[in-house]
Amino acid sequence: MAESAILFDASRCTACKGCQIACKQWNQLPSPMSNDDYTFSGSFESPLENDGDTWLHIGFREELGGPNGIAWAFSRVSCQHCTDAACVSACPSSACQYTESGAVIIDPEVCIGCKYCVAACPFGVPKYNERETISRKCWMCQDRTGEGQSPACVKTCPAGALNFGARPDMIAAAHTRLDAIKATFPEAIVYGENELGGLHVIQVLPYGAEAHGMPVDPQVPLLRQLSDFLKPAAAVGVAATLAALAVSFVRSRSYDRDPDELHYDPESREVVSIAAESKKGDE
Amino acid sequence: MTKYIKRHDSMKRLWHWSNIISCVFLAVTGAFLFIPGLGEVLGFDTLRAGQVIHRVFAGVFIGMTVISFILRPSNLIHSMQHIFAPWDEDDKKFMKVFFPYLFNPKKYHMPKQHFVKSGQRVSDFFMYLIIFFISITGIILWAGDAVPTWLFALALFGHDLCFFGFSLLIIIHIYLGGGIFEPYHRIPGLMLGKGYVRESDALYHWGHWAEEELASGENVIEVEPGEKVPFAK
Repeated sequence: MAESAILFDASRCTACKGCQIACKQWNQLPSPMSNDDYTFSGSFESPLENDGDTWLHIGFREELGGPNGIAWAFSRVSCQHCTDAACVSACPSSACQYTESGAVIIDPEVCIGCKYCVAACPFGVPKYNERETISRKCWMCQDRTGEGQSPACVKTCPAGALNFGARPDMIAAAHTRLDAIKATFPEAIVYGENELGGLHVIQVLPYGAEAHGMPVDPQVPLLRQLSDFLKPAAAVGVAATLAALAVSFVRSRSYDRDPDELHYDPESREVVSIAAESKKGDE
Repeated sequence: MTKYIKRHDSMKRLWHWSNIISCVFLAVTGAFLFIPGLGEVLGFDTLRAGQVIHRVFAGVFIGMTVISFILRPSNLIHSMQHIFAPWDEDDKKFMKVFFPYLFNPKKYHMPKQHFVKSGQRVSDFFMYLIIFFISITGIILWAGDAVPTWLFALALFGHDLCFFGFSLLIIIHIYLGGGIFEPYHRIPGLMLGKGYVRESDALYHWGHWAEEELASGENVIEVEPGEKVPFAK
């Protein structure tokens, strides 16, 4: 199967949050339903971050400026489906997996809820779901894409900001769009082409990566890299210690100190060896 | 008639036994997650069961340490005093000769030692340090979502690092303390058994301490041939 990707064109996004709702609906993810479940933060961004039941939300950067008095930079906050996914290398139960299409999924049947993926992700994507006691995140609607459909978020987008298809096609479309908007948005970039081995969410970001909430040069977190180094180092360390002790064991087997029975003489305050003394007597 | 010196009281031995059992379960279930690929082989149910067992024995491990400290604080205090006591010439010489001795015990003569050998003082220092950090990081990992992700990630790496360090120390500890190393072959009976050490063994391993004890006679018992050594209280 050819690698697929989602294309998010932030210059077309109107932040209607249709994708957010479609994700919830298709994946049957519950939302808080009573009044005041969300505290108003002063932003249109709601919720302010993903959780175990919210795998996609639209992020808002709202700053004074721009032609109408406010500059908007919207972001699609969800899994980037990395080619070199830190969550996959961190997962001890192999619940985090690559699919043939390039999507990275968490198999809920296998996840043990250790949260290692939560700590490993450079984008902070996987979230622990208290209700299910496992980690959850976008799975690029494998049940839809497997049937030739586009993911629910893409299908619902009324502004045409989301697209889905073969990854090379999405990259080409992103560059075409970049060329078209570069004059209006000089800081515009294509994001996801090469980051972390290439992402499977390609983005056109008119105000640059940082403005849209994306790390400029995403890296697998240092602690995760150290952890990946630690494990083989630990294996070598343990093997070397066992080998050294095996040598010590073999070399010490012939040593027998039992014939030297030591006693303390309180009178002379000296330690005497019975075997040694007997030998002296024999001589 | 054979003289024996009391070395480890019942609380210390109980704590040590509890630690042995806890550490076996903690190490095995920890390895499920630590060793790449092992989790996939073991499968979901084993991993989930391992998580529960790991937490139960983590509770036992930390709980027994706290309880034994509350019931007999002198054990930990004495242990700390020994770890941080100044080193004399014999202590320094012991450390210099220890590694050659480990590989050729016939050739090297070890100097007299106090209640805790200088090598074990170094080992104990790191053991206590690792126990402290592996417990703290374990509690943070247990807290999960209640702590910031960066702290969780830091605790995860710290827990793994401590596990590695602890594994090395424990392997060496089992080799020496478990009496696999020939000159130490009668050592296991002290902590795992009745808590008394034979005069000859005490003089061989901890010369300074044994001489002090034998001179004072306070913790010394004499056992007739055929008579059983009692359990140290």
